Amino acid sequence: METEEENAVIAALDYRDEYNPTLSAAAVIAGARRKQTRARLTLSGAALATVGVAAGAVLAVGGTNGSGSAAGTTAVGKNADPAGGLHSPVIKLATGQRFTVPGSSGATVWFTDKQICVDYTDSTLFKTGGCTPDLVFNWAAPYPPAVGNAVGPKPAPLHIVGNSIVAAPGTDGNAYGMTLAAVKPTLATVTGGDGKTHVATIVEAASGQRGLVFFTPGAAIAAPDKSSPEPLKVILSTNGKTLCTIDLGSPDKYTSC
Amino acid sequence: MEDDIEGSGRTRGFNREETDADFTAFVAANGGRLIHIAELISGEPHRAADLAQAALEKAYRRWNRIRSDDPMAYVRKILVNQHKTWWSRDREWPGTVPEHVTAHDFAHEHSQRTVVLGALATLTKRERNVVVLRYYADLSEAQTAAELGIAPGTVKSTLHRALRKLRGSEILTLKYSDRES
Repeated sequence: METEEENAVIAALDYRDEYNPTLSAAAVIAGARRKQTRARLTLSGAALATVGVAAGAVLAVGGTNGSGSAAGTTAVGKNADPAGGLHSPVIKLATGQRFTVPGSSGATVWFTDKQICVDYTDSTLFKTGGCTPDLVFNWAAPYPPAVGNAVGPKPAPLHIVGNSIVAAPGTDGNAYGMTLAAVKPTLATVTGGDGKTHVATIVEAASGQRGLVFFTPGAAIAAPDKSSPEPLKVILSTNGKTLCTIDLGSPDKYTSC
Repeated sequence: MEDDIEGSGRTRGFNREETDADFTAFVAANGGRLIHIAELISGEPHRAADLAQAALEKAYRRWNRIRSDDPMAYVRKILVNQHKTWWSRDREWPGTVPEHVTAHDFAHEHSQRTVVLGALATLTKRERNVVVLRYYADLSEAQTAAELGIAPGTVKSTLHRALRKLRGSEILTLKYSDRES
C-alpha cells in the first residue's frame, strides 16, 4: 500500500495540461521502414560479394586478419597488426548510398563526394558535425585522434576518385585510413565470409602519403610512410573483395593476402 | 518486395496490413502515455515525442513477436534504454546536457509540469527511472526491477532515497486545481 507521500507523487506525475503532443502511427511506421530499408545493406559473408558491385567509394568490412571481437583495438592503418597484416572483404558504396553497420546500433555510414559521414553518435569516442546536411566523422574531446586511426583533428575530407578507395590526409603529414573499430563498441560486428566476427571497418591500411591514396582492384599503391623507410603497399584484390597490405618494411616483406 | 521488418510477412500470423492496423491501434491507445513517460524520464518535453517515436520504431520492427506478449513493457524498456543512449551521446557536447535533467522552462500556466520536472531533476537517472516506472507506469517493485535490469531490493532502496529527496519539493504539496474543476 502506498503511503501518503507516494500517493502525492503518483498524483503529481500524472499532470495534464493543454500541451499534449501526439504520435502518428503512420509516421512511426514510415520511419521504421526507412531505417529497415537501409539495414538491408547489412551483410553476411555472401552479401558482401553481392553488394560489392556498385561503383563508388569502397567500404572495407573486416578487422585485422579476422580479428574476432567488437573490442577492435587494432585494425587500423599500417602495422596495426604486422604479424597478421590487414585484409578485409570489401563492399562498394555509391556516393550517397548508405551502409548500415551490422548490429543493434542502427548506425549508418555513407560517403559524400568529399566526406565520410555517420548518422549515429552513441559513442564515447566520436561525435559528428559539419557534414551539412549530413554528419561527418570526427573525434570527440577528450579523445584526440591517435596516430594511425584518425584522419585529423578536424572533419577530414575523404578523397574519392572514380571507383577507388581513398584515404584521408592527416594534419601531421601522414595519410590515414580510418576504421570503425575505433568507434567501438557501439558499432557492432559482422560475421564475415570466413565465418569469423569482424568489426566493421572503413578504408583502412593507408599510411604516409600526403594527399590521395587510392585503391583499384589489382593495383598496388605504395604509400610512403614517414615512420618507416619502406613504404606500405596496399592492394585491392583483383576480385575487388579484399583489401590487402604488403609491408615492405617488415623482415619478410609480409603480404597479408 | 517485402522488407525485413518482422510482421511484414506472413510467417508469424499477421500480414503487413494487419500488423500496421494492430500497431496503429497500440499507438493510438498508448502514444500519449509513452510521451508522458518519455517526458518524465528525460525532463525534456520538446524531446519526449521524439524519444517515444524512436522507441516505437524499434518496437514496430518486432511487432509480430511482441504484440501478443506485453508490448507496452517492451516499448517502455526500449524507451528507457534509448534515453540512456541519447543522454550519453549528448554528454559528449559540453554544456548541452547537465548532470541532472533540468526542468523545461515552461510558462507559468504549466506550473504543475514545471514543479514535477523540477523535482525529478533533483534525482539521479536511476532514481528518476524507478520513480516514473513505479509511480507513473504503476509497475510493481518486481516489474520495475525487471524492466530496469536491477534487483528488487535496489528498487526499494532507490525509491526510499528518491522520496527523501522529493520531500523538500513542492511535488508533495501540489494543489490540483485543474482537476477539481
